[in-house]
Amino acid sequence: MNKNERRAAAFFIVLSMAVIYYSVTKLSLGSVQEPGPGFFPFVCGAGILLLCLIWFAMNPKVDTCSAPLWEKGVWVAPVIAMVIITLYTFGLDILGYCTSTFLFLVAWQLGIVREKWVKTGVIAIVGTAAMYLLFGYLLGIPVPEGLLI
Amino acid sequence: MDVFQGLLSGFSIALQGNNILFCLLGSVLGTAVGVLPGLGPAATISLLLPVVYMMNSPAASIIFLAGIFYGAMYGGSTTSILLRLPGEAASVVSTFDGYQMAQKGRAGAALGIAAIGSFIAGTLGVIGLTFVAPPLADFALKFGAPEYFALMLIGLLLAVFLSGGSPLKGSIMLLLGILLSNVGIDPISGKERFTFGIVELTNGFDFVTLAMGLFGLSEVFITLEESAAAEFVTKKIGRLWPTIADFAESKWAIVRGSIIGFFAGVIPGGGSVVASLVSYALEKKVSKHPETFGQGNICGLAGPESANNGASSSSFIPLLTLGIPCNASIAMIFAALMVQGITPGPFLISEHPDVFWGVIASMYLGNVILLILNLPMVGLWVQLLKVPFGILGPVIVMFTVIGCYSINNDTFNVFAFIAFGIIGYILRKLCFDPGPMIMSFILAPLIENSLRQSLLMSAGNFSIFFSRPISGTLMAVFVLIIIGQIYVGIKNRKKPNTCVVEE
Repeated sequence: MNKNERRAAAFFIVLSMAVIYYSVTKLSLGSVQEPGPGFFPFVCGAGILLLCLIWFAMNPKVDTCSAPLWEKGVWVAPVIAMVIITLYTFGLDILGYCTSTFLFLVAWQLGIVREKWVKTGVIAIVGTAAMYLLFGYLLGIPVPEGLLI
Repeated sequence: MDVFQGLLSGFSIALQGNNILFCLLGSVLGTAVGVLPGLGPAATISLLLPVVYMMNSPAASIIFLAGIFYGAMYGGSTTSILLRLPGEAASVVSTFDGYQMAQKGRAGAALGIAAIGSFIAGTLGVIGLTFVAPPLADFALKFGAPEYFALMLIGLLLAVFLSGGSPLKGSIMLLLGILLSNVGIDPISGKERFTFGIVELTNGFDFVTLAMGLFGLSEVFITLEESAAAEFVTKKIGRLWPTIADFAESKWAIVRGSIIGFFAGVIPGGGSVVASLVSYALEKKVSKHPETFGQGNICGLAGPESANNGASSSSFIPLLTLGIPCNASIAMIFAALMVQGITPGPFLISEHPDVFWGVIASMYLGNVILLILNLPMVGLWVQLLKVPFGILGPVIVMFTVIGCYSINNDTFNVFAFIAFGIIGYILRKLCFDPGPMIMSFILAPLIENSLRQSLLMSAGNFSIFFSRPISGTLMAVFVLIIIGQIYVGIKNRKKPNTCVVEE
């Protein structure tokens, strides 16, 4: 059990205790004859807690030889992608589908792929038009509308 | 309706113009998915679930998704052989001898025997499915709530123990999946659970959002970490048909692989990966020249390739007859059936014979399509690898975002999808397999209902699970599996921890 696994197990213990507390206090456990809405979550919470305790008991020492979770710098691209996708989602309601999709593609090409400006512009324009045609016209999906298009 | 009548009616459905088109489309997409490293069948099916919402025909939608699933098994071998780059988890074993054959200038023969073995095993698997599924569905009609509870318990447990990763981590994922499915209104009492006053959560999390986040988006994040630079070992593929000597050498490996694949596919958690590994180990054991394995032995390629395709066909048996998905990809197909208002299980064959027999018949057709797609067009598939992830990544994101948005026409599901994507990414970095979470999420309402019904039937007496013959036997198997796993766990305690997260 390495450091990260210990942290994960500790997180799951806290989560399971919160679930048990919520099931007992906010939901009704009911009886064995007639289980209430809290019965099943309580059993799951207790199960996770038990499994994490077994995990700790079976691996009392920290494994210091294990590889780090992320090699140097490899987390940068996924984190940038997470931020870009979140901003894209906010943009859908505010700016509208086409504008936010165009900006999303520009941000992806410049922030992650490190593409040149001209190629970025072409990809963003062609990509936005293709997606709008596919979803808005061919598949007939109501695309988000915002202040712009 | 007997088997032959059913099959005939199935072919009349599968051979309709739109169904042939969806079968072809699914097979093409599946092959592409198999060829492209990183994007597995479970992720792709999850990405395409919103499309199923818009399809009016349940048979066509399942024919389409099934095509992707078994098509990926065919396509996965191409990059394993030519680039030592497995397109999906079940093709890892094919790199051992397939790549060595390619290095020795026998890439065409390797691709040929992989496609032919896949075709034979896939077709034998569908024949098995045709004849085993109806009697099994008849038998399952005897099941009541306690039997279903016991069966689902075993299914989930096997999915955790046989997936190859840590059983402890798998069990935690399984319970987390059940907890996530508890979010929303309790169907029996009507009380809200874990909604915290958020109106959008009263109906719970949408399966599509969860599946696309945990599999699709997390896959994008994982791929962004890696540079998928691969070099071709062979510029020229050469003659595709294996020689008579190749056939003679590998014929029994194909037969053994087909049988192993069929049985491994039926077991929950077994699936294609286990089938290919078992087949490789068996071929090495029965070979007169085990020292040549890993150096381009054709049996080391033919056996596992046949096994993973046999497993992909037979894994439909528990889904179509018992309503139990035995791996993450099949869980997605389970969800697609539910989206279409069809509950998979023993009543499927009598209530929706068009779907049951149509899907089975389409699998015969799909195997022929895949043989044609994979042999002469192999060069075309390899070209797919030239599409940069800088283009493919944002396209996947745009598809999934609009797919989540279209569920309720609001951005709540998109934000939930992003959250599940980040959670899936972190879980995979920590070697937690999200597969059991998806399976338990989808089975949780059925498990909860069957548990509550059983306890109501027995006035709270848990002995109902042990006193009835079928559920008693199943519970005995359940207890034996747990005891066996504890024994294995204690025995292997000193071994180093390995990370296996498969599709």
